[in-house]
Amino acid sequence: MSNVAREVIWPSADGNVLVRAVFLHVGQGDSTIFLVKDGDTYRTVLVDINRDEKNGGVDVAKLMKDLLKKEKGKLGVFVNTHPHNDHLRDVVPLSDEVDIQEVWHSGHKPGKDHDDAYQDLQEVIKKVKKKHGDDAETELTASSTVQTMGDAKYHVLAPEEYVKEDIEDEKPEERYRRIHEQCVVVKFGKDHTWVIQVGDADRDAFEKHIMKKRKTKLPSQVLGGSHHGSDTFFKYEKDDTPYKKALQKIDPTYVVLSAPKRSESPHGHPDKDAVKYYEEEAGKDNVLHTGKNRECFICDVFTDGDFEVRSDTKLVNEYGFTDDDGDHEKDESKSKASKAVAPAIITGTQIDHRPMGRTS
Amino acid sequence: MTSWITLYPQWFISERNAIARSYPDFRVDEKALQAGVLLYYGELIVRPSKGSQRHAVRIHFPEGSPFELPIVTPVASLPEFDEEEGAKEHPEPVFFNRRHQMANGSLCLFQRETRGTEGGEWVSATDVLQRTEEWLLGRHTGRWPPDSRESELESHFYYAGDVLLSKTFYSEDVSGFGSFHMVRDIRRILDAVSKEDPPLIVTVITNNTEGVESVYDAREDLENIYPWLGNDAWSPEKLSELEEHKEDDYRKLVAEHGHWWSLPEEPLPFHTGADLLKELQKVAPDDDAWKMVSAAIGTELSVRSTHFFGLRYPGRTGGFEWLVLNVVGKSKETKGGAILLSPNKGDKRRDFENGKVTCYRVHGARPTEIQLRNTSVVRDDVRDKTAALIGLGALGSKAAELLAQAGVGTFRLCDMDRLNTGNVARHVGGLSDFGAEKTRVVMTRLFDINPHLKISATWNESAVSSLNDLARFIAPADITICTTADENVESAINQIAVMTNKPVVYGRAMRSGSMGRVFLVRPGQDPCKMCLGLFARESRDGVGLSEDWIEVTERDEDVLLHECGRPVIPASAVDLSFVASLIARVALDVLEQREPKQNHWLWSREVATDLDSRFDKPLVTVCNSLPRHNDCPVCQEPDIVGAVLSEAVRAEILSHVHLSVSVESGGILLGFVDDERKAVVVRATGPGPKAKKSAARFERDVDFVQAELEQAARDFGRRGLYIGEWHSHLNAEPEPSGRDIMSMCGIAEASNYATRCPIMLIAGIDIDTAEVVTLRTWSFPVSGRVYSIEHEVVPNAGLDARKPV
Repeated sequence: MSNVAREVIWPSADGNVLVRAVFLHVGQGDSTIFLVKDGDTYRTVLVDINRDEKNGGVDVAKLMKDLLKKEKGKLGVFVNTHPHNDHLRDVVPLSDEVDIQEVWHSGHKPGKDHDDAYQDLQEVIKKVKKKHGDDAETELTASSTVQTMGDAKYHVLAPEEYVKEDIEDEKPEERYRRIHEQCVVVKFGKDHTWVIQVGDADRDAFEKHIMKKRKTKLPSQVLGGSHHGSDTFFKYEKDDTPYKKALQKIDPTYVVLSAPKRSESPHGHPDKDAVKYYEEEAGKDNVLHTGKNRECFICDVFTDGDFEVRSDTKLVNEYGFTDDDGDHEKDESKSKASKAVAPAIITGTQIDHRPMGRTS
Repeated sequence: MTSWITLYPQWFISERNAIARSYPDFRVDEKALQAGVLLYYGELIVRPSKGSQRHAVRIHFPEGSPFELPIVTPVASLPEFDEEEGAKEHPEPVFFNRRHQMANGSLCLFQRETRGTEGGEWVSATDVLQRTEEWLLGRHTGRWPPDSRESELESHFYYAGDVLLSKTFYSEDVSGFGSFHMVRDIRRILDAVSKEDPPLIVTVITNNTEGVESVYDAREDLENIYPWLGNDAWSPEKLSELEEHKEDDYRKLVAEHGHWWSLPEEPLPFHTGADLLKELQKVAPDDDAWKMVSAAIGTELSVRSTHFFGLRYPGRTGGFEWLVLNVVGKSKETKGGAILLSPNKGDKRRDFENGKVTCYRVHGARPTEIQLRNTSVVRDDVRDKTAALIGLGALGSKAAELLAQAGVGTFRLCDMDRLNTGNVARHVGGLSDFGAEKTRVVMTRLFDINPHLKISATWNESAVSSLNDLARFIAPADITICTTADENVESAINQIAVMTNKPVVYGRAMRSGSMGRVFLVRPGQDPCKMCLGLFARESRDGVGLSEDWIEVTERDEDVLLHECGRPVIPASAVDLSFVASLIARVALDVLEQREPKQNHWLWSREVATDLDSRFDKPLVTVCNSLPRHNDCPVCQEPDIVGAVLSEAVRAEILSHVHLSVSVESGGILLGFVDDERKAVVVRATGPGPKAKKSAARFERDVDFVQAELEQAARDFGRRGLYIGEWHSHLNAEPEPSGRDIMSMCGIAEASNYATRCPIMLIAGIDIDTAEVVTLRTWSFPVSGRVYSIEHEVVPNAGLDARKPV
């Protein structure tokens, strides 16, 4: 059987891909794979995970299992930018499917709404530490120095360590926002070519912290746009004057927004105004949106510093949840049923869901 | 005509949905769709580091969808659409001068390897578009998708015709630049793209390397397949003369010529004269390739509007490849039909640069190319092997063809017949070969398969027209294939082959081609033709000893008519091809030294359980390993091929002769047969006291020689047996007389002499000097054939035999 994840994602041995970032279409959420060249092989990093069956998102756990089959199932690092559901959904199944070597996270404690996700993350951390020791957990803090990973570099630009402990007693809405303020921001690449993933980091994260302390480290060619294209990157309230300085400083050639079609997003992501601001900065054709045509984007940074971005539909076709009638539960029961009655000849016809009618 | 859309509506719907999902901005041509054609226009966006780039493309579902891939063609811009949502015009393709873009502008980005995909693979337009994006991205980044080594450069050019290049032109020595000369194969006018453009054969090139000019001609490579080309075709001067007169003299060869250069690397596809100059700039001595090119073309620039060019470049798998192109300049025909060319220099250059480049597909007649499809299937060293074919009818000609295709290097061909129109239904020759000798017909066919093979003998007579010639014919062969189905011919071959230790495959069709019998005789190992004859006879007489022999009786009524007394039996080429393939397979196994364990194959088209229970299904081949027949006179005791006398034996004979030089004398020869089938004589007896001697007749004393024989057996054991006779003739040049022959053949046939091949020695006496001047020896095998054999005198021959074994 073919292994689509491996074929599409794993760089060929004779190529000169230094860092490959795969922005997965995961519906209303975020999940990005980074492959970082290390001699003859690649280190694997997964930043966030989500499961969205309604919007045709890919089944990340299944995809990662295929991708890492030849690596004995080892996932180098799972990075959680912040402990919200849409960045952690399915992290436990992921930890069952692959052997996570390390977990890096922002160290925040979330509010009640996102408690499930937090508990899941804690469970996974426990599991990983049990298998790989206490060093397997890293609470990320912004650093002034670039770190080395394999043949490439990475740089953690947020969160700032000193504000992370004091949010536990805040109101849920406030804490929700503060978590975005102290979300992990990390970039991979080297020299002058970087892919930056900002998670849900909002205007405060940039205006109050990153732009003050690490402004010069921001420029990046490819930006994993903030918060599924929400306007929180630019403003607090609808009518605020947008804050574009961070975007201008990043100065991306391409912006990748991880969000479903706007019509399918419960939050109206990606936000119309936000998209406009991104397009003004990067150019209309250079703002990519995973949900628009339900595709993934693969960004390659080459060893010579050049880079390119490609779209891919194979991953969605292979790993995407099907939602023919927007009702995935039915689909799953269908597949379970057909599994249960394997020798179809004996049990005879098995009726299942087959919509018909004049309109499509 | 029913569109594929009607036939495969589900694929149509899923493709439309997939494009709507992944490429929502693509626009379908509704008007075309009304006519049953699905095509879209849209822009693909690729994202190199300089930011997104758009490329307009057309994607068209061919009539063979979904079994054929959707076709993507980059176009200059998106068309406008009319009120009926149809494209107002179909924009021209855009060329990128890169591999994978075909001459019509379409992209060919998928390998067709569907063997492992049962039912084939239906490739979705979205996959094709995604592959197209990768290719288009390469245009901006220089990182093209990986290329397969085998994809052909030529298919990226406009196809104008075909050209043959033989192995000479692929030599390492041909490097530099020069001119090349071609002749047209006017017999192949049907294959011409345009009427004036039949396939070309490169016959000679000139090569200028570091100022030294040399000429390479392909005469040796090609004259076997193009015997009609004659002498003029291999000389640049003669060809140039021909070319000048080609308008008015079509009785002669039609010649063309062009100019070629060696390139340091494989060129990219291109389409104009300007592109060609760009390629040649890499090897131009100064910064303007036009100077080099126009100097090479010379005055022809003023009289011709098309020019041939050759580009030689390093191949992807080593060696060199050629690209043969034609630049077709602008030409205007005047009313008189003369070509009007641009008068001034600048215009000439512009015409050339704007000229359209067309490509002549190069067909390399290199042994490696010709045998490519036998790679690792047939051993290379069969090219050093020789197959002799006796009989070139339906089976023989086909078997020869198959072996030539397998790469066998040398053939010897024997058939007495000429091809008549009735042969064509099952022969490799065709009607146009009417009246030709079959050896010639097959030879031409074999050269056409492989011009590098050798025909080391053609023999247009019956194989039994001369037994000496027959022996010479099969002597150099590594395998002899006999398909004459003539018992006499087969028996003659059998005797010689067994004696000379030559393997032979016999094959024949039976029962109107519904059965075929093939057997392999490796002398000393397999039953010979005579053994099989004995098996057959015993089987018919109901005393069959071999369970493995399957007797097939023929029916007289099968004979259609007789040609020259030989029966013509109807049989279809469809069946005979099975038998011919079986024959060729067995022969090839021998040539490849696979040492087949079986030696006998019987094939039946139909169920034939009456013959053998194994024929319980149609198209079964039964193979057996038959043993040699214990009583076979040919192979159980092969013929004696020579004699060895010791000095002492020679002296014994001479002394007996000298005792009575006016009458014949004689005796018997005692000894043994060595491993090489030579008779080693350890003792020659005298005539005995009761011998009858006269000037022209001799009868030995039977009791005396019997006693001598028994004594020898006591003295030498199995090395002192009866091996033949000797006597003298009062003639310096003795030959066996009629009486000698009758007596010796009688001895061979008689069981009481316990030999099937006695030898005879005759001492020739010069009656003038009364001296023995010649000793001659013959062998008399039971088959009735008499051989003159050589004898050698070795001082101590058989000496070790003097002790009992």
